[in-house]
Amino acid sequence: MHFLDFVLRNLLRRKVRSVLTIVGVSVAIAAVVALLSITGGYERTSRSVYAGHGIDMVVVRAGVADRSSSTLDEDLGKKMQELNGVSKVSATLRDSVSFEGTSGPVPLNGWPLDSSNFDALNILAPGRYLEPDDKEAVLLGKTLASNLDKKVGDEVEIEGKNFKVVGIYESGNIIEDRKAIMSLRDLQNLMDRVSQVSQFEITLRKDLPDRTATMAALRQEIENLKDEDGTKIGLAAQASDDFVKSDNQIRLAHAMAWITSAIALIVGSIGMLNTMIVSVLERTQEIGILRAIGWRKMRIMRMILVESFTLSFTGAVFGILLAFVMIQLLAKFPAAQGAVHGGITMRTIIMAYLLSILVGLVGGGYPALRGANLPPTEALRYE
Amino acid sequence: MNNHSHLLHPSHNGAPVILRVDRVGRTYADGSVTALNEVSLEIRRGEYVAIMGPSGSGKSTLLNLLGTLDRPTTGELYFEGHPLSQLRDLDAFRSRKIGFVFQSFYLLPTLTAVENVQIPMFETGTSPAQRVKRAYELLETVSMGHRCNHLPAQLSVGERQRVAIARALANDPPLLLADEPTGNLDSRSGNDVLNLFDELHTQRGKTLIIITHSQEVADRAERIIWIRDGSIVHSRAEALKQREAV
Amino acid sequence: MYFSTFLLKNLFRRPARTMLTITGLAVAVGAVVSLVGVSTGFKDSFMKIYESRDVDLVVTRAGGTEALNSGLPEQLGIPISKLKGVKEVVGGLVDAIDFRDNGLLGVILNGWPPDCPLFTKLTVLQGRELNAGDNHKIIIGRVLAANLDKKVGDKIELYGSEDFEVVGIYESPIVYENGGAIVLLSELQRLNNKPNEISGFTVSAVKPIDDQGLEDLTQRILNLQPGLKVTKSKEFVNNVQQIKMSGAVAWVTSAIALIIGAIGMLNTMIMSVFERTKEIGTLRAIGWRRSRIIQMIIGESLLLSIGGAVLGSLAGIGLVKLLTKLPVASGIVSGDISTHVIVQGFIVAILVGAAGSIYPAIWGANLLPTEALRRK
Repeated sequence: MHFLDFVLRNLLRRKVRSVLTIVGVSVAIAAVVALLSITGGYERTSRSVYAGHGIDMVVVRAGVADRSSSTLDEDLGKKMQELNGVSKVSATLRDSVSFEGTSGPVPLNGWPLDSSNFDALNILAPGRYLEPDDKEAVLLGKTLASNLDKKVGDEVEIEGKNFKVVGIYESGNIIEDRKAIMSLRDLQNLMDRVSQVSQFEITLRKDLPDRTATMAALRQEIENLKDEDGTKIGLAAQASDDFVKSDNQIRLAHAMAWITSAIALIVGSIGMLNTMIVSVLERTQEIGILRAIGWRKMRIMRMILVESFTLSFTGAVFGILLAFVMIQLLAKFPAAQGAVHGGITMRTIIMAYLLSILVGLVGGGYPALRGANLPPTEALRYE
Repeated sequence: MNNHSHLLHPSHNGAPVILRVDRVGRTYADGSVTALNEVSLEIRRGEYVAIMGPSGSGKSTLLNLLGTLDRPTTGELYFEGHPLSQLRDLDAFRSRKIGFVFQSFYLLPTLTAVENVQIPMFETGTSPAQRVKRAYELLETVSMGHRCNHLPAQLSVGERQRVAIARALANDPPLLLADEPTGNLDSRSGNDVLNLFDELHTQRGKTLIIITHSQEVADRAERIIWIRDGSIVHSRAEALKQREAV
Repeated sequence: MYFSTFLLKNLFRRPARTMLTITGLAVAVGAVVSLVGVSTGFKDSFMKIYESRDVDLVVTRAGGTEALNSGLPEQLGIPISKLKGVKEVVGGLVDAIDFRDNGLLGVILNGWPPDCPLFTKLTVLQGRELNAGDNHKIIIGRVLAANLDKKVGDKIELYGSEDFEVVGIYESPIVYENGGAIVLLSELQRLNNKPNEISGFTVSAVKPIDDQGLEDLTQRILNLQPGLKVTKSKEFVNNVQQIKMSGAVAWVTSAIALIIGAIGMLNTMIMSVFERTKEIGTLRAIGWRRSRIIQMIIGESLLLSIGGAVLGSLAGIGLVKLLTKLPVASGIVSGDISTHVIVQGFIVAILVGAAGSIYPAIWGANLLPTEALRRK
């Protein structure tokens, strides 16, 4: 008989207890995996919005907590265009608007017609991009269009004004596909925000010898830009990845995911510890026998730790499966679309296994020590 | 005396029948295993009866049926003339009318002697103060008054059995059922327990039914019922023939 | 001996198991009490803003996600104030800013006109109030002053561009306002490139007013111009995105913790009933009814739950008290947890106790005494 067979048989002796302990650990691990995957997926998707558009840096108003409230003067773009290393500057005005037929507000982006952001959109047939002589025209994201049940050529009422749907796009990014896009001019007029934009997106020249250095210098220059009276304008320029990462909402989501995971893991570990302590206690006499027939303390410890790791590891396997199913189900909910994205990364899975080892160690460590240090004579007498 | 086997002890002639077993059978595993077969017997109030038989003879099944822990497959048991199959609440019946004494005592390990004795009284609506008072009195009766606040583990096996007997008397049941009560005891404490049974029988008028395989224990009873192969037989010799045959 | 004494003795037979089960449950209940406590506290203090100012309706732009990016013309305040039944209209611009160097995120910066009646609700602790013409001047809440370590006369840089001089430090009856700051409306409009724009209006109606009257007033405001949204103050608070989010997060976290807690409880009770098979058989043999066995097992589990709930509530209250000492949270989290939340904590703990014990109780009650006694 293999040592592992022996351990497995110990666990199978109390099937209900072993199964319940595994279920407890699975729920904890599933919570960790699902939450980290959802928040991580959201961050990756947000990042790919910029990567998809080939954007290297994003400039917003310094100090704002909620980026949708950032407001900048459109003309700043021209100043940035002249800076060293800049290939292209495009502007975005972000706002949220009421659409007929939707309950909540819908995010809407305004882009200048020559914005390279359009390049990342794939217009579905039969539709087209916005054109200079379009009046009151709008592009709808695929998901938004299907939620609103609108086709190319239909009219849609935005903030009480009628717009014509000239195209429906697919971007490969679920956040983008829930938005609508119109020309910057139209949006500024619609929202009474003449010459305002929310942010500038900067694409660097391709032929730069040292991109990192240029980026750092550029950042410095942009943040120190001054207006006519010589006061600092107050801009924050960040590499697009950092920009997404430092978003308060994403940071909050990460923090929440970790708090929840920590609580789940603590409660799960306590359950594990409970099972293992009782298991060692009820086998006191057996452990005495094992010691009496010559097992060393180390082997007793190993036996108990391997039992606990087997439970926590099995819990991790089922937890990951459970998380996978949960995410798939969540992604099907219309309300969660765009926020939940059905992938679990290898990194999250490895994290889950590492955490399960931790749970096994917390749950098995003390009982193992206690079991190993039982004096054999007393253990044998124990009833 | 032990040769009268199932005959009634003369001193109980005329006493009312406390327990009548009428052609009771008990089968297990959907009828394929017969543990008891058409057993009939009568036990009168105040009798002291021993049930003997080799292991597997059906005596434990009979004790379970007498104690209403189990119900017969066929036949009927009557307690003081009332058919037991008509009783809806057997638990309540058991708590008031029957006291059990087990071979392994089955005291609750976390409770002291006086607390163990109170356990059956929860079911009879006795007030907490009365429970305590009565438990002390009962322990006094079984000569355990000096060990009231000890845990079972702190008592000798003989003492444990005496606490268990006090527990069996908690609700003052007329009938005591004992399953190998001396089986785990040394001869001296076994003797003490048997003396206690005698006392309960003669001074308190309890009806006693004891299952045992010890002739010495059975000899204390007024009547011995021999059982073999699920049926009552007439003599020790007849019962033991079976044993040799196996 | 009382029945409850008996239950306690059963539980203390395995002190380690009992303590661990209680601890597990306490962590879960602690999560409920602290998270739900913080999120309802957040909502309550928001609610208090509107109640203490006698606000009945909030007017925002229909398409705005929330107050922060709503955006209405400042001039709209005049026609609203002239409507029948309107007592007072207050307009202001709100923004949330970060002081990342101090680890402060989402500090609320209000822009109020100099004649704003809300100034009278603040108690000036040091320095003075804001007056007309106070350009490049700011007053800050007591908690923000402590977090940024600023005194009257110090400068604060806003939006990475301009220095504002602290002219006053105030105390507001609303916790979360003490973590914020106030500048003149015209200054915030200038800083945000939002000339003549405000985030929304709060409207107080002439009292007494019934639901129908409020309904009619809502209609009169909506008729002023298209694209407005008028919300009753209570609904407005319930719909603030952050409040909805924090409430949802609190309950999701609690639910996960409680599920795992319930599994732990079930495990403990199953083990405890299994190992007492013979005892349960004895109890049944000496006349205990099934119902009393069920009472015993559920009672034990409820005692565990109540233990967990007591410990968990204490831990939750302690945790929240600690949180208020952290700079990041101090301006948002109020230290007290309502009894309502603690009652909720107890209720869920008892539900967990019930969930963890029903199956073991039924299993135990259905044991046949003859078989139970035969088991090893």
